[in-house]
Amino acid sequence: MSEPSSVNFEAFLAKLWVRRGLTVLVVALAVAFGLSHGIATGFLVLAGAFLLLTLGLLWWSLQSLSGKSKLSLDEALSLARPSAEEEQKQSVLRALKDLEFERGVGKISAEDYQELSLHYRSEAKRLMALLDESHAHSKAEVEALSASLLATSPAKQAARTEDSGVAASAAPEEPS
Amino acid sequence: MWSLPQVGLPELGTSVIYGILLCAAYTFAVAVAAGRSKPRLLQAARAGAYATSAMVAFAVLLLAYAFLTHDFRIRYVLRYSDRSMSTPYLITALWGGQDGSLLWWTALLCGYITLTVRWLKGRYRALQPYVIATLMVIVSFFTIVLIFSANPFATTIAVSPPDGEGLNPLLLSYWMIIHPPALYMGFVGCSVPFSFAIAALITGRLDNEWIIAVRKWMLFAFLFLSIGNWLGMMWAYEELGWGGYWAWDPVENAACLPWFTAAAYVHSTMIQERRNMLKVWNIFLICLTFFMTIFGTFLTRSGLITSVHSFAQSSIGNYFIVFMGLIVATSVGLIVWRLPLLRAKTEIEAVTSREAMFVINNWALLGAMSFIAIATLFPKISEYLWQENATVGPPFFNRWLAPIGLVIFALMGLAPLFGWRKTSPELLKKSFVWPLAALFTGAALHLAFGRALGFPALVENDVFYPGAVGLILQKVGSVSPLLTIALAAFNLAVIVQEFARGIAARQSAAEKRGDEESLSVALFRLITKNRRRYGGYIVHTGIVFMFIGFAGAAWNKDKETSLSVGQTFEIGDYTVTYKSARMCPSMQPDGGGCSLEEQSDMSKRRVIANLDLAKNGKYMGSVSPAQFIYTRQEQTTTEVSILRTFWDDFYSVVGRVDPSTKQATFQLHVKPLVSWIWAGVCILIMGTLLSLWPQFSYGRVGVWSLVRTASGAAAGIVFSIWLAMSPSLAYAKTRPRLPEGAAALAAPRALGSEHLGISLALGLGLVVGVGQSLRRRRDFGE
Repeated sequence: MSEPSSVNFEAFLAKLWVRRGLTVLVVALAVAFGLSHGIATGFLVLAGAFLLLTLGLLWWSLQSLSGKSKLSLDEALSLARPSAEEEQKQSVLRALKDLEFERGVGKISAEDYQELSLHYRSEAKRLMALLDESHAHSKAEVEALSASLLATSPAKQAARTEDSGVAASAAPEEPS
Repeated sequence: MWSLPQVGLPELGTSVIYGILLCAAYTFAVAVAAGRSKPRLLQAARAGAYATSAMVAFAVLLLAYAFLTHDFRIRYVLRYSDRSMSTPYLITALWGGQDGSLLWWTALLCGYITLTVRWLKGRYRALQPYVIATLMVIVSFFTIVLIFSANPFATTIAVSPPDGEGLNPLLLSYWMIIHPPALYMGFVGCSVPFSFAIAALITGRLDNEWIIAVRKWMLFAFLFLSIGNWLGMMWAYEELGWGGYWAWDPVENAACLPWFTAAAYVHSTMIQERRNMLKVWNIFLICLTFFMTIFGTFLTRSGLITSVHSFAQSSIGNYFIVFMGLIVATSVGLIVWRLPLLRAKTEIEAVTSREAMFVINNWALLGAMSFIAIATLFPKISEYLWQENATVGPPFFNRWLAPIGLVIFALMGLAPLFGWRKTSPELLKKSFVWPLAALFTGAALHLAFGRALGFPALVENDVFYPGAVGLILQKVGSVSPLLTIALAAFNLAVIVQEFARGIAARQSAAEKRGDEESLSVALFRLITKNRRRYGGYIVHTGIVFMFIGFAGAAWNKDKETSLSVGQTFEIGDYTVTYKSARMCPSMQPDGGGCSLEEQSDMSKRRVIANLDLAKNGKYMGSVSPAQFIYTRQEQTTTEVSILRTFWDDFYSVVGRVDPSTKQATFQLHVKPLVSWIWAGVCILIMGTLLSLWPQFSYGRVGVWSLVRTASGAAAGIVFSIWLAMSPSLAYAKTRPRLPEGAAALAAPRALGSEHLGISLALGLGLVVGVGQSLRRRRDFGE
């Protein structure tokens, strides 16, 4: 678990308005110094900001590497990466859409359209069935977790909710 | 003014470059480890990639600071700047020489890396680690070159002199501000598709989805390659003064090689998406495009080939050879390893199919690229194999590439007429009727009226080679204007037909729904719903215009003459009158007709001639070709003056001017249809932008997000306009060494406008940045 102070500082920096504010501040400082002390000084201010940014990012990277920093919400969400089947499904659906357009502009004969459309649709169905199958285990896990949450007392549930979130300990287990 | 302690800047800069290498190596290692599905490591790799990019930005800003403060202890600053240069040119000098341009290249690459890593968040999870690792290898390569062979922070051995050597006068041009960065953006942009290809090969995720991502990045690179080459053509045309826009110089050729392979890929990727074919071919094209960018850089910078715009000979060529070897070995090794996954499950069923046309088109584009590459290298090949000096000049390229270009032009029109898989004879007949009618009508009209309008369909052409090949090339050259115009009509008819069919299909579908769509609404919706397809057709329209412009070269009129003041001269339909000449700065009390700027600029002497032009008796305007003699560099440059019209350009260059009699020699050219080339490139850029524009639905985006996007786009456009206008500022502020009084008058104005420009740029950058950061991912649906 990280030190409380460092967690707070990270959380502070992670806020969108803080990042925006810092960006605006740096640019404003660079412009102000550029106008008052010459353009070279403006560049120097920007250079300084980039040096600080480099150090900050490297620190963040090392913290992530050592497991001391939290896994960000986005990173945690992106763990549910699209599988190869999902990618193929997208591709087949896009091909179907293109096929419809080709038919609309008269670039494909009716027989070819029928044949291709049938082929793409059956491929899409096959992929969807595969995806359902692969999601079945996760669905069962989610249902079981929901049921156990609903079964617990309101006080425990509140405590659990407070402890949950995206902290490293609560993040999904890293696949090996 | 505040300044860094003068002792530390070169050492700090060098340390930062070492730091970049360390940071990139660290990120590479973490990214490879993240490939084993460790999310924490991927987060660390992403942060490492951002940190590497920030460190490169820091290095660039340090070098810019060194230029702005005239830190002549740094050898690069000493060689490429002096105290008289204005701020825009001082910043431009960053990429004016070998060392700085490599750092600039790395900075642009890091810009792409930042965008890619940001864009990848939550996408292509399996590919991400290897995409980042590959990009880090490329960064490491350039950093190694910077450290060991081209350190822009290296110091001079002697005590730093009071002033620098200054930028080559030929580079003191506004094209220098915009052309190299645009071209580098194109070159560097090819790294992203390459990194995706390597990642897909390593992970084995070779399905069709990843190529959708690559297609967009490749289109982006293609866009900038087009812009960069276009700006290069404009620069050559307006600055170099030899009367043309493309001299088939090795460096020009190197710049266009990846354009051909990128264009081939943009077409062949559609076959993979639709038919699940050509996977090996597409991966090969991506790797080849990236290889060509490195090869082009190698040609430019190694000093291997003599060229007008090569950098000084240096040892960096060896590094590039090793890197090219690494690219080839990695790409080929991975492709062979993944061959079982890459094998096509379907094949081309008929020649009368769109995929067959695309394949032929690909071969033609690759043929053109290979031809240019081999011809460019031929002098070296000949020297190495046969110990003979051979020269391959523009006539060779022009003769051979005319037929190849016409084949590509014809295929461009043919492909959209075919459907996927196979096209029935009825559909073919229906598709070909109007385009063929346009082809024959265009040819007939050209034959009938071309000569009367000054654009004859058939032109005289001398035999370039003895024998049958020479005769064939001569005949093709003679009929190429006619063929170009006929094929242009064919292509335009195809494009119009495609739009008409699409509109008709939309209107018919709307009618079936009980709705109604007017022509303009149907056109708008057709384009916005199918941006990629119709953006592509707009690109084709641009290429049609460009081909017509290229055909104009067949009707060029070139003359050289010597005139005294008051004499007239005829060239084509133009009557030229030599009105006057002036030498500035002038010693005459009345200033000798020189403007205040010309009088006060002591960095060069100007010899300016004034010519009045009339066409068929009607006054058209005047041109003022000049010669600038740079006193410091002892170098003379010709300053071309052009009168542009819709149908032709009057292009004038002044040679020697007798100071006493003012008799002058002139090179005069009438160049038909050159403006069509520039218009064509603009249309091509618009079409590519349209294809790239993200698909988003109004309902999902909402009004506020739409306004933000529109504001961002508007700010971008205003920024582009400012960038386009900046040349005038840059011109105005090439600060000459002024006499005391004049300096006092001129300085405040120059300084004010400079600050205004920079503030405007920063302000707009701020608006765009804030706008972009406000935008959420949900804004865009695709």
